[in-house]
Amino acid sequence: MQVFSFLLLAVTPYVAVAIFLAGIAYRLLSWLRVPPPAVRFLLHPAPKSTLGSLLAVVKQFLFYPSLMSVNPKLWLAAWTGHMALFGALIGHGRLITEYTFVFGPLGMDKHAIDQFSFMAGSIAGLIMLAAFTFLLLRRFRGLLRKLSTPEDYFALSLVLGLVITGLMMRFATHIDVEAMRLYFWELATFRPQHLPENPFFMAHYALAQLLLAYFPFGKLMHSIGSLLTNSVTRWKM
Amino acid sequence: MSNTAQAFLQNFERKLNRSLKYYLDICARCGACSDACHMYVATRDPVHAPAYRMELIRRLYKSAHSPLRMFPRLIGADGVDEKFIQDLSRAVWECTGCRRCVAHCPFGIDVTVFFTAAKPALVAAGVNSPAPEIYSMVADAALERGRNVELYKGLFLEQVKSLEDQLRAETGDPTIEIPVGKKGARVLYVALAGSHTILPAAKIFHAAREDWTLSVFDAANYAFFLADTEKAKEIARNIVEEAKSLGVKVVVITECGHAYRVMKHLAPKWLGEEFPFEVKSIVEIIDEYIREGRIKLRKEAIKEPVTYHDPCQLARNGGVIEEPRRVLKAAVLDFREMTPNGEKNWCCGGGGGLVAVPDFEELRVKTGKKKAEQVRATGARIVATACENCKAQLKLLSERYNLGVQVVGVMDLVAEALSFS
Repeated sequence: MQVFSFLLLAVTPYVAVAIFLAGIAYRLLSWLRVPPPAVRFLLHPAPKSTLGSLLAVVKQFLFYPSLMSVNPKLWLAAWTGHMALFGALIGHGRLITEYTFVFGPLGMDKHAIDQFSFMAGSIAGLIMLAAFTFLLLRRFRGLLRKLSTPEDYFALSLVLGLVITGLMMRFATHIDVEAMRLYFWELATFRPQHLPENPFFMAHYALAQLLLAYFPFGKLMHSIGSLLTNSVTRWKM
Repeated sequence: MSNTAQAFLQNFERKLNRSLKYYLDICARCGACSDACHMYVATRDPVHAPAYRMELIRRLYKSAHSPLRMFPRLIGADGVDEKFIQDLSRAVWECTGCRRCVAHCPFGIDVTVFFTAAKPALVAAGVNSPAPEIYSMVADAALERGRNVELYKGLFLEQVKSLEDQLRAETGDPTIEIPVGKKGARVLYVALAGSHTILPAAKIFHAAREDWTLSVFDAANYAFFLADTEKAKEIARNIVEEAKSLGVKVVVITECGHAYRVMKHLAPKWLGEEFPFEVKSIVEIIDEYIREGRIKLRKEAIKEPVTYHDPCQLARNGGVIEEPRRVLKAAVLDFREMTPNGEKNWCCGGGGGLVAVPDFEELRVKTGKKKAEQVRATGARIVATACENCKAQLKLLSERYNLGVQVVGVMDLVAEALSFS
């Protein structure tokens, strides 16, 4: 058990991050290696200015308006799920900083930050749980079943696994943020010593590392790629 | 993998570009596009669902390139057999290329980019379909005309002369004319085979006192539907060279969606040059005439309710959305919009060249369901549009869905409402 937790907490994190970074670089290069199309087919009415193009692409990136107009139910699940995911990612920033530069000016002390973080994180977690469960379940029938590949089920299950273990860290155990921050600081400076051996954390952390390592090689690249694909059709000529 | 599949893949890969690579890698298969497709909504056949059309090609690609290709089931690339290739062929050729799915994809993934690469690859791999045979015939006829233009010119001039006589008899105006090959004219008008694309335009140009001339070429470019860029270039170049040699300022394309899109947006890129003239749709130039007061219209001429069908190639894919509306509002008393319209409009089911393929007639009737419902809901008696293929399809839909509507061109209504006083 000690060997296992040592590996998971002090060895594989480096491997996962290395694969993630190298994988992203590899993916971006593999896109750059292919020549751009001779003709870019735009969607009209097309923006005429650079600012307009930027707004059109960012609008798609943040609000998914094209999805909303065709399938409002899917839009609701996808949008709330992804926004909660962004929120949760920002929340994970507490592993590095206490965000005092945000909360300080609002007059919130350490206790208030803790409370806010618990509430916001829990809400985000529950939204993600509902949204990604919906996204997974709809893949079991009709056209979506025929369309889906094993990766689709894998990616959604992985995200759901992260959400569930994350929620359990909130509701089934106590996590000491200070201890976590110390661990991640040590990890980032290549001298991990204080290893937090909470089983719920370990499960969450293992899945997170798996996600990091898998991320560049599958459909999750739509997070970065959608900016590029939307620019193909929505950027001015 | 079968030999056919391999041959297809090899040819497809030659056409691989960066957009395609993005699409192959990031489509999340959310399936939202299927709800946006008039074909899938009507047939519920996965082969008509945009993401699945693309997924068939993607699976083939992955089966050759994925690092996990040793485990085809894992990457969803199993079952590449003859049936698979037939499905793939249907997926590619039975698409109208309306790009409604592109407009509704949160990533803006463009399935037509796949088909532009897949169409020639299917032809090269020898996979049969009735569509490419017909498109080839039409495209080759256009090429033939371009290569032997002097041979065709005599007959063409005779036909135009008789049209001119007809026009003079009809309007009672002996000064109305249809000039051909007029050097220094401001406008070169590119029509289609058939007098119905020439007569109303001639009346409008005459009323606007436009200095115009008629092209000896046909606006249609079926090599575009064939995705044969070399042939499509040559067909487009005929018109470009004619326009240059006559020194015109504006090339006006008749009511033909793909011809406008090709000439306006694609030909300059294909030929790698900036044209010394502007490209406009006949609808755009009519809109200018009305706004500049060059023509006057009597709205009372058309009292019946009129709706407008946005041709996909003109609206979503061409950018001509407001102009036909302004024109119709000036030309008729009762103009009604379909819902949705403009860039969100449903395809009529005849695009992509499908309207020219007799074997696809029943498919077109079936997949025109959304359009038929839209037309019926407006209560209009006249459906105006600005695309030859849409017109043919809408006529078929009116007949088969008992819509009882008259299908006309925007310019037909304008010509009817012209006030010569």
